[in-house]
Amino acid sequence: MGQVVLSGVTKRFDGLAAVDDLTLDVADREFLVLLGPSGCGKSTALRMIAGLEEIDEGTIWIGDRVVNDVEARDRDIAMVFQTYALYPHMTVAANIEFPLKARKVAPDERARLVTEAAETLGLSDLLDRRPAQLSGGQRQRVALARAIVRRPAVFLMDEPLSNLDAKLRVQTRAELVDLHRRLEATVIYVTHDQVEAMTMGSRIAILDQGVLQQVAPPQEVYERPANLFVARFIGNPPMNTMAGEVVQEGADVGVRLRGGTIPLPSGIAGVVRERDLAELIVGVRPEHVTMSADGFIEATVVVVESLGHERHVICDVAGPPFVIVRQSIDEQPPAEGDIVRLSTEADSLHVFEAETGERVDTDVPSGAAPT
Amino acid sequence: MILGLGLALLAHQRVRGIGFFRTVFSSTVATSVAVASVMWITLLNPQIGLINYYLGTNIDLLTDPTWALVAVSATTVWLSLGVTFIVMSAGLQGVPEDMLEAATVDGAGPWMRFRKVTLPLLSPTLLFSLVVLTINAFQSFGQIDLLTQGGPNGKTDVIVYNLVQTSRQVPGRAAAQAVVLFLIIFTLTLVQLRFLERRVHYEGGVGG
Ligand SMILES: Nc1ncnc2c1ncn2[C@@H]1O[C@H](COP(=O)(O)OP(=O)(O)OP(=O)(O)O)[C@@H](O)[C@H]1O
Ligand SMILES: [Mg+2]
Repeated sequence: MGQVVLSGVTKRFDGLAAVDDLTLDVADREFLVLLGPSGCGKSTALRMIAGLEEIDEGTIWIGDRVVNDVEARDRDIAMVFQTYALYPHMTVAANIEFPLKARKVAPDERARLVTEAAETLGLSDLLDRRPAQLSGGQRQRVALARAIVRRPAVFLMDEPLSNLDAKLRVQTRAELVDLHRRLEATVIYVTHDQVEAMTMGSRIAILDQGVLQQVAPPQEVYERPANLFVARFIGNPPMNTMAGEVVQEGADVGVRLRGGTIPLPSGIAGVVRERDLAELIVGVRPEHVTMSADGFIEATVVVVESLGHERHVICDVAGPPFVIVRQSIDEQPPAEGDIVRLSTEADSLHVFEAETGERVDTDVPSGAAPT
Repeated sequence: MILGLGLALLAHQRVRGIGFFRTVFSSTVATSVAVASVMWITLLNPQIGLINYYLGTNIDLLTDPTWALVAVSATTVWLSLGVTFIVMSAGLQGVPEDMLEAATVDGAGPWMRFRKVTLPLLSPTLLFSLVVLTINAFQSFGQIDLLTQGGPNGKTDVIVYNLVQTSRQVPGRAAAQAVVLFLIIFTLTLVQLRFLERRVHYEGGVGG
């Protein structure tokens, strides 16, 4: 009942597509995160689902209904805004009660539901306060209470944690996940914070310039990014990427990079040969780069950064960009200025076509199955 | 002279949803009392005036004892409309868009959004307008001087006009009138602030 389907949805502002041909299938009770850099169209997509923005092209279903022409109030959704958009002239109780009043719920039923929602979010002692008298975290919870009080099938949230300080954000993140579990409702959650996306989403949909890049569970997005954009966007410190030419020596296929040649695993080598690709971009996550005597690439250590629980060794490979090596704190750190050789396991290698940025892979998993 | 409230409401009605007429509505700000009065004299004229024409009547609205005050009031309303309109527009700009959107998603129709969100958030502006317009209405002079000179039979002989006339003959009495006028306005304003401030919501305010 709570599934949301977008099919070929497009929204243009002054001829420019803010959301371009977006097709997305959100399962009932799923926690789907819309992730992307600022201005990529996340909010616009969410607002179209909410009914706050007209759709230029395409179809949106909520439940089994096409809602293109259904008013926001009739879509059985609730929305949490980044600014919370609490009504400043009303008490907390009146704020939570507002959606019920708007829907003409009987007074005693209203009182019961408000009490219940307030309890769920730990607001019972604050019901008589006004938003101005609350902390940021409390306001955020009032916004959530106002959303859940009416038990809609779908919750839409637009960066609901971005106005909280870092510590509160971590805590609220966990609370939101727990709330989602208890409510058994569908959540579509917009954020530009990849940590939020990785920790909260059952699946992540990544947008760039209005175009969907990949939809997959967090682990898969991390392990098998569908293209260079996703590869570079997800992960901190970001994935090391380097362009190079394909070189063949008999049956072996490698990529010649600055500082050395790296062999490709046989499966990918087969695809490269079959498709006759000449230029590739290879990527390796910092935790998968090791320093060893028999490494493929020679590099100079520029800086060693210690973060307490891990170390980042930043290496120069005869020109930018630097290669970042993530080291456990127990390992012996190199000295700045050392010449080291870098290597990696074959199956930690991500390979992309230089021309399109698309992943070169042996079998592409469907990735659609939500948990 | 409960014009203030009428004014505020009138201008407010117009403001709603008609950004299109913005320039037209604000234009009365740029009109001087003299120009406006002459214009209204023409409009109200029994022979050539548009008002009589549309009403299908032939009354000299400015000399008719029943209508003179109404006609003068209408002119005053018209004169204040521009300023009120601008102040209201500014007030409406201060109502955050996402708050109205939140209300939309929460299920409120246009009327409920207006009554429960826009109006309360606009209340400081409304109070301000009410006070200023009331004071203005008490102080109307120019349009009365030009339209009716206080006539017919002193029906439009409002306080400031009367005061000015008196000052030409009995300055002492006029001075006393001025003090009385000041006290009236002062008291009325105080009463307005006193009784209405409680219902006004100030952004971020603790009380209310
Ligand atoms: N009302 C509007 N009129 C014109 N352009 C708009 C409008 N709303 C959004 N846009 C444009 O559409 C694009 C997508 O905007 P959107 O707000 O969806 O981005 P976003 O991904 O939510 O970004 P952020 O993370 O900064 O909130 C932007 O380029 C923006 O300038
Ligand atoms: Mg946004």
